[in-house]
Amino acid sequence: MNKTMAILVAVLVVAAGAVAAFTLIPGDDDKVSIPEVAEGTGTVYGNADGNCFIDKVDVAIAESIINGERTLEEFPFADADCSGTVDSKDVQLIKDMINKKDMKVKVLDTQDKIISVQYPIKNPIILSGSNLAPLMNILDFSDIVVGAAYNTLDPVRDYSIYNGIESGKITKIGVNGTAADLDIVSELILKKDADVMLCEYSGMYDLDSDVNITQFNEWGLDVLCMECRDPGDDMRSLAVFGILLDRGENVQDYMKFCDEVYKDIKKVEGDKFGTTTVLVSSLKSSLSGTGSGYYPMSITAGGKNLADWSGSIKSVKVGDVWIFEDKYASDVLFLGASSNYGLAEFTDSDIAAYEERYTNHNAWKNDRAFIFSTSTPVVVRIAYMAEFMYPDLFEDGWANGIHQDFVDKYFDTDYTVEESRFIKKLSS
Amino acid sequence: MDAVSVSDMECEYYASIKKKKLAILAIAILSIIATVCSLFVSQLSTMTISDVMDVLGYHMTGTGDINPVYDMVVWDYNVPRALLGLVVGSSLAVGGAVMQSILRNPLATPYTTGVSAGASMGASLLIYLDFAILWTGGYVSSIAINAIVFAMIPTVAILIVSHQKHITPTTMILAGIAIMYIFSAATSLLMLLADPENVQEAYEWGIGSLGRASWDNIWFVTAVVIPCMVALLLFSKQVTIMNAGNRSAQSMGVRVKMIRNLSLVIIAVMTAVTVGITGGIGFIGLVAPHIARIFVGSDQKYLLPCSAALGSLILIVADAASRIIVPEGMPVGVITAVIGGPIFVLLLIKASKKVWF
Repeated sequence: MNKTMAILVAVLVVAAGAVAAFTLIPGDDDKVSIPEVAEGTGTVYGNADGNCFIDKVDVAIAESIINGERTLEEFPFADADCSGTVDSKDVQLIKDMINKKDMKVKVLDTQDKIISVQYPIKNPIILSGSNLAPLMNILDFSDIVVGAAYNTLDPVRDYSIYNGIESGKITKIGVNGTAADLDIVSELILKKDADVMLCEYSGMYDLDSDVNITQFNEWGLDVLCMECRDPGDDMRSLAVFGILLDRGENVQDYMKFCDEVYKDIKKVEGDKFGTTTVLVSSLKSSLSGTGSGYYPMSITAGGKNLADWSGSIKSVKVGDVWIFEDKYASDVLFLGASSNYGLAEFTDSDIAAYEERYTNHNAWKNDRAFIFSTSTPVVVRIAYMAEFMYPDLFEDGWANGIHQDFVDKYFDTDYTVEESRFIKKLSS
Repeated sequence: MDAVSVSDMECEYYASIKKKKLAILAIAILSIIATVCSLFVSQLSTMTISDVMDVLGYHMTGTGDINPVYDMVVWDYNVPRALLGLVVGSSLAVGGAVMQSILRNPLATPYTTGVSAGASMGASLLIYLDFAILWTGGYVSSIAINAIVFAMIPTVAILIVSHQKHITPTTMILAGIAIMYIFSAATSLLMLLADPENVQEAYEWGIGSLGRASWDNIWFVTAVVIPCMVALLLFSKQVTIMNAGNRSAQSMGVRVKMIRNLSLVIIAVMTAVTVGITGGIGFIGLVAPHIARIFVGSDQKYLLPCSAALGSLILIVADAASRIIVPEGMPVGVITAVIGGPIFVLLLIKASKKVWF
């Protein structure tokens, strides 16, 4: 062995020893870093830090509360069994959750109801509206879905459920939540071990029939409804579903995507952020109020929403003139219409229905009324709003770029956003 | 004619004619007053009576300084709305009055004969499914064309039925009601297939509202409705004779079938155009002619103008009431149904022993 070779061997031996020592010797990484405050997005009891994972941090938080180092007020979701206190039972429950043991966990839904749900979810049924549908793609769990209720399916956006139903792997249980066929649901429970029904709180799709929910619960099917209409609800619902379906990484990835978009909006708009006044309509016969998901969406996009009514909508019938009051003379009007992907376009009757209501509105007269698709994901709608509120600040096609990124990342299909139209100026 | 030579009976006759004319004049004046008053009803909390006066003054004299928003609200919304109320109210009432006479049935109106349901079905096709028989580029006119075409279906059906032997007016009404149910069922089916957003839109349209009034469509409606009403007025003498029965009318030289068929077609066109724009406003065609008969009797020469004035009055007052009771706006069809229903029942009870036509 020559001298050079001896040095090389020596270096390799030392490096291998260092690597072995680094991986085998317990270090500081085993000491879990407990956050100062809970995130509050993944509102599953046992998920003490409120993120989108059940892990050793949650165990550490529960133990620190038992030790008196932290309080239940700081980490309310550490109380895994919802008993009002944190004790060894909670620690054990969290450990069981980490080990994916079959169990029931408590979830705080977006209407602040505590729901008991099977964990982890293995064979879900979904009742999905246009806001929940994109989340299905993000979580990528269509392979375990056994049943679905849909009014209309978009072959692009809802491709996974669409293909599942077409191939017979997923059973269609009805056109919406309230119209779910009980016979089919009971069959799915008996033959396919359906365990949880995931649905969206929405006027059109939710399971507002307590009778059905009670019936499903008696059959052993848990029902969990969440809202997905605004940036906050969107994240929270995604985090909860992500935890229950063991798709935490998907959630984290999507949160990062959204966070970058929202940061970009703030950065580009700069001092102008929050200065353009706006009103939004999601239905032709109404304007969205402060209780609607569109209120926070328009604000996240950098708008100053002029709605001053607390409900989700306020009726705008043809001939109504209250929208012309000075206090509602917004710079911009965003008027929503549902449209499919594919070669998406807005219909003449959609445009005409808005024209006969808003043609004399300040924004319409100034060529700043836009019809937009309500079928796109929340983050994409926010991007479109931002670009069209501040056209001088954003590059032309910026929102389409965000949309295309979303499609490329989360839709398992080749689809070019620019071939369709998801927002359009309504000229005076 | 020398007053001394006039018999008591003639005196009484002329007095009754004078009374009828006065009643028509009084109701017409009330209708115009209601129309003017309705211009002052608005959802704008900041707009005062003086602001409305300024706008009206500006448009009458061409001078003055006015708020552009108030100008738009009063001149582009309230004035066409009031005028549409006048035209639609009178057309619905006249249509009802003539239909009740020629079909000799107190319940006959464009609604109970399926004409309105046909028009609604046509309009729903555009609202729900985006299907226009002829897309004119305008939403309102395209809806009206759909409504006219579909209103003709029950009209033609009634005409075909009327040519059958041994068909009584009652049978014709029953046929109309059957057609109405068929169209209503078809419209309900469309609702199931439609986008939920459009269901709300069509629901509000179905109840009936004057909110779609604009300078663009008021001319269209007026241009169709006024000639139709004049034509019906021209047939008034023959229709009055037909009240005595078809055989009697024929023996007096009235071409019963032609008058009946023409009248039904004219009413269908009139109804379709108004329904196409306002939606289904119920009870005006039923109630107004019955109240008018209390004042002027069954002679079509007086009944039609009186019904027209009364129909306008009821519709305009109901529309103003709907906007006052619920400032955010309530479809006028709700008010006409709430007011019209009990009045109609009262009329039926009071007039049960009298000849109604």
